[in-house]
Amino acid sequence: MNAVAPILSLSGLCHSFGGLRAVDQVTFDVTTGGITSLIGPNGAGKTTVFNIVSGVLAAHAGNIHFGGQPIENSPPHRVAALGIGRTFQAPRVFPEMSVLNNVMVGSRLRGEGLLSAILQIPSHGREVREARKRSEELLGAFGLLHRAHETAGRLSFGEQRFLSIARTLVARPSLILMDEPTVGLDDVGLAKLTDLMRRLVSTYGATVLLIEHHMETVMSISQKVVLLVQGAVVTTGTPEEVRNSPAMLEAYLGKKHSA
Amino acid sequence: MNYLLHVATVILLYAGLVASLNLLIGHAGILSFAHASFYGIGAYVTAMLTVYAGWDWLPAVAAAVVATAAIAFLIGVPTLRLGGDYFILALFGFQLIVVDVILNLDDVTNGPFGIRGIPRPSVSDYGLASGWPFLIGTAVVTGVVFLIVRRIVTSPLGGKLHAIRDDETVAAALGINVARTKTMIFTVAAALAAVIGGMTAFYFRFVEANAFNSEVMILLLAMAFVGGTRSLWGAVAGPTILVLFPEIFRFIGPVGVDLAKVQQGLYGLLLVLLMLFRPLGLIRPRERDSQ
Amino acid sequence: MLVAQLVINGLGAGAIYAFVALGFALIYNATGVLHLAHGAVFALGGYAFYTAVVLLKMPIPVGCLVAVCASAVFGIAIEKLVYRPLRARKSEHASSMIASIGVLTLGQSVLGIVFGTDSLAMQTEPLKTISVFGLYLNYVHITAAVLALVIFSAIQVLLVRSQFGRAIRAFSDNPKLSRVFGINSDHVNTLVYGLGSGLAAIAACLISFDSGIRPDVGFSMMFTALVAVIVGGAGYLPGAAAGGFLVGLLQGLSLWPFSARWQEVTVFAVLIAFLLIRPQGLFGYSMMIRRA
Repeated sequence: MNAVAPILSLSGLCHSFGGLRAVDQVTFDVTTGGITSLIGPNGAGKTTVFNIVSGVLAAHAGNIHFGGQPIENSPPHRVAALGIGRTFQAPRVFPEMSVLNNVMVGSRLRGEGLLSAILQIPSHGREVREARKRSEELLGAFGLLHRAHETAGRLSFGEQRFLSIARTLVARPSLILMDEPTVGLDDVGLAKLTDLMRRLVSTYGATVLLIEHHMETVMSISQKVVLLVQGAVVTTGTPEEVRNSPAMLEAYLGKKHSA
Repeated sequence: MNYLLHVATVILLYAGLVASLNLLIGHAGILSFAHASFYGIGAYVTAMLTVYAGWDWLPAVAAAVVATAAIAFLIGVPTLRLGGDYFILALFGFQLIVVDVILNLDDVTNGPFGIRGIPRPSVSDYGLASGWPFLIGTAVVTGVVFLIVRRIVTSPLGGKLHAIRDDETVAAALGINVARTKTMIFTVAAALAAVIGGMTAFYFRFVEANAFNSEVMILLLAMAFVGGTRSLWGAVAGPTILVLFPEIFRFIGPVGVDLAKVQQGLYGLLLVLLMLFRPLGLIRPRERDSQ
Repeated sequence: MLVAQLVINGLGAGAIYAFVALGFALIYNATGVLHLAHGAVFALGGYAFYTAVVLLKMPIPVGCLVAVCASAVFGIAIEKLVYRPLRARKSEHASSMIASIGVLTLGQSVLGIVFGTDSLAMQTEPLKTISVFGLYLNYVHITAAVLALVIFSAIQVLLVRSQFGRAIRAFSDNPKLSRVFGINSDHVNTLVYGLGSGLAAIAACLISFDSGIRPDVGFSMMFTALVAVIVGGAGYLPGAAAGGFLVGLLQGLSLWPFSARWQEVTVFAVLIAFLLIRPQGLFGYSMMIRRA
C-alpha cells in the first residue's frame, strides 16, 4: 500500500446515455507517481470514464478528487489548468498548424490575452521565447525537431501520435490520461512509447492513467491495473493479480462480451 | 480622378471590414453571419451621436465601438457557448432583425429615411473633406485594423484561435477556455467592424438600414472567400476584385440589364463556385500559419 | 375574442411554418446539411404555383402539383450539383452552408429578375372566410390545417412503416454503418431532398394566397423555419412540425401587445429564449454537431 495519497480518486462515478448505464458506480484510485492501466473489453466505458474525469461529460453521480480537490463536473479547460493532461484515441493534431505551433499551443502562457497580443508587451515576448525553447526541447526529445515548421497534417500517423503527446506534455501536467496511445504504432514506435511513459514517471515524477488493449504493454509497465466491464469495476490489483483473476478470463474469453 | 479616389476609398473600407471578418471565419472558425449588422450598428451610433447629439467625431466613433462591442458581447455569450450550428443560426437571425429594429425604432433612427448630414471629421482644424485627405484617413484606419488583426494572429492568442478552429475538444483539453476566447474574439471583430462603420458614416455622410443588411453580408462573405479567409492580402484582393468588376461592367456591359439585381445573384453564384472549386480563395495562403 | 382570433391566425401561419420546418428537418436529420437554400426552393414553389394557376389558368390542385414537382426537382438538383460534390471532396461542414446561402441568394436573384420584385398575389379579392363560434377562419387556415393533418400523418407512417422511411432513419442515426448495410446514400438523399422540397412547395402554395409571393421571402422564412426546428428539437421530426405551430402561435399572439412590424424580432426573441433555457428544444433532441 502506498503511503502517499492517490493523486486521482474516483468514487461512485455514474453516467448514463439515455437508458444505458455506460459508467456504473466506478470507484478506484490512481497511485501517485506510477502508471495505472484501465483495461476492459470494447464498450466497457473506459473512454467515457476519461471523458468524465477530463470534464467533457458530466458525472451523473459520484465524485472525483484530484490532489484532494473535488473536480467532478468542472469544465475541460479548468481540469487541464489544474494539471491533468489528456490524449485521445486518435492523435488529433491541429492539422493546419505547424508542428512547433501545435506544441506551443499547449504551453498555457500567462500573457496570452488580447492586449498583450496587440501591444506586444516585452515581458510577455520573453515568455513566448521561453515557451518556444521548451517546445523545441520536447520536439527534440521526440525526434521531431527537424519537422518543426512543417504542417502537422503532413506527418505520418506515428509522428502525429508523438506530436500529440508532446503537445500535452509541454504544460507539465502532473497526471496524464492516455487513451490507447499504442494504436497504429509499429514495434519501434511502441518501444519508444513505453520508454517514454517510464521516463515520465521516473524522471518527471508524473502519474499516468492509461487505457490500453495491448496487454504486453499493460503488463510490463503498469503498477496497477483496473478491469472495467460493462461500465463497472470488476477487479483491481497488480498486473499479475488481475491477469490471473477469474474475472479477467471471463471478461475476455467467457460469457461477458461487449454490449 | 475623383472617381478613382472614390473607388479606392470604398475598397479600403471593405478591406478593413473583411480583415475583421477573416479574424472570425479564417482564424477562429466562427462563421459569423452577423458581421454586417455590427458594421451597421457602428455606423448608426456614430451618425446618431454626431447629428442628433452634436458630438465630435472621435468620441462618437469611440462610443459607437463601445456600444457595438457591448451588443456583440451580449449576443455572443449565450450563443457561442452552444456548439455546432446553433450560433450560426442565432447570428443569422440577429443579422435579419437588426435591420428590422433600426427601421422600426424610427423615433431614434429616423426609420427608413436614414440619417443625413453627418459631418466630416477634422484632425486639428484640418478637415478631412472628400478626396485625398479622406482617402489617407481611411487608409490609416484600415491600416490600424490590419495591424491589430495581424498582431492577434501571430501572437499566442492566434495560436489559441487556430486550435479552437481546428479542434475545439482538444483545445479545451489543453486548457483553452473555448467559450470565453470565442466570445472575446467575436467582440473584438465586431468592434473593428464598428470602426469601419463610423468611417463609412463619415464618408457617405448618410446612413440607412439597408446598407447593412443580409445582402451586404453576402457581399462580405464573397469578398472574404474570394481573397481567402486566412490572408490579409486576401482582405485587400477580395474587395478590389468585387468592387472593380461591377464598375468595369458599368462601362462596357450590356445596356438594359439592371446591374443591381444581377449583382446579388452573381455574388451568390460566386460563393457556390468558390466552395466547390476554390475553398481556400483565389489567393493561396502560405501553407503554415505565420509565427 | 381578439386573442382567440390571433390564436387562429397564428396557428394558420404556424401550419405554413410547420411544412417548411418539417421539410428542412427531414433534410438536416438525414444529411447534416444546413440547407438554407430550402428558402429558394420554397420561393420557386410559390412562383411555379402562381405561373400555373394565374398565368396558365390551371386548376388549383394541379397548380399545387406543378409547384411540388418544380420544387422537388430544384431541391434534388441542388443536392446533386452542389452538396454531393462537396461531400465527395470531403469539404468542411461550413462550406456546404456557405454554398447553400449562395444558392439561396442566386435563386432569389433569378426569381426577382424573371418575375420582378413586387409581391404577386393569387387573387385580388380578400380571402373568403367562414365564421365558427364568432371566430373567422379563412380558406387558407382550413386548407392548411387539413393538409397538415393528412400529410404529416402520412409522413409519420412513411417513416415508421416503409422501407424508405427505415432507410432514412438508419441513415440519420449512423451514415457509415448504413452504407455498410448497403443503404445507398445517394438514393436516400435524392428522396429526402425531393420530399423535403415538396413540403416546402405546399407551404408556398398556401402562403401565396395569404400574403403573396416575393423573391426575398426565402431568407425570412428560412429563419423562422430554423427557429421552429430548434424549438421543437432538431433531431425530432414531429417536433419540427410542432415547433412551426408554436412559433406561428407566439408570433400571432405578439400582435396583441406589439404591432406587426415586430414580428420577426419576436421570432428572434423566441430563439434566444430557447437557446438560453432549453437548447435541446421542447422534445429534447439537440442539434447534431457534424464535423467534416
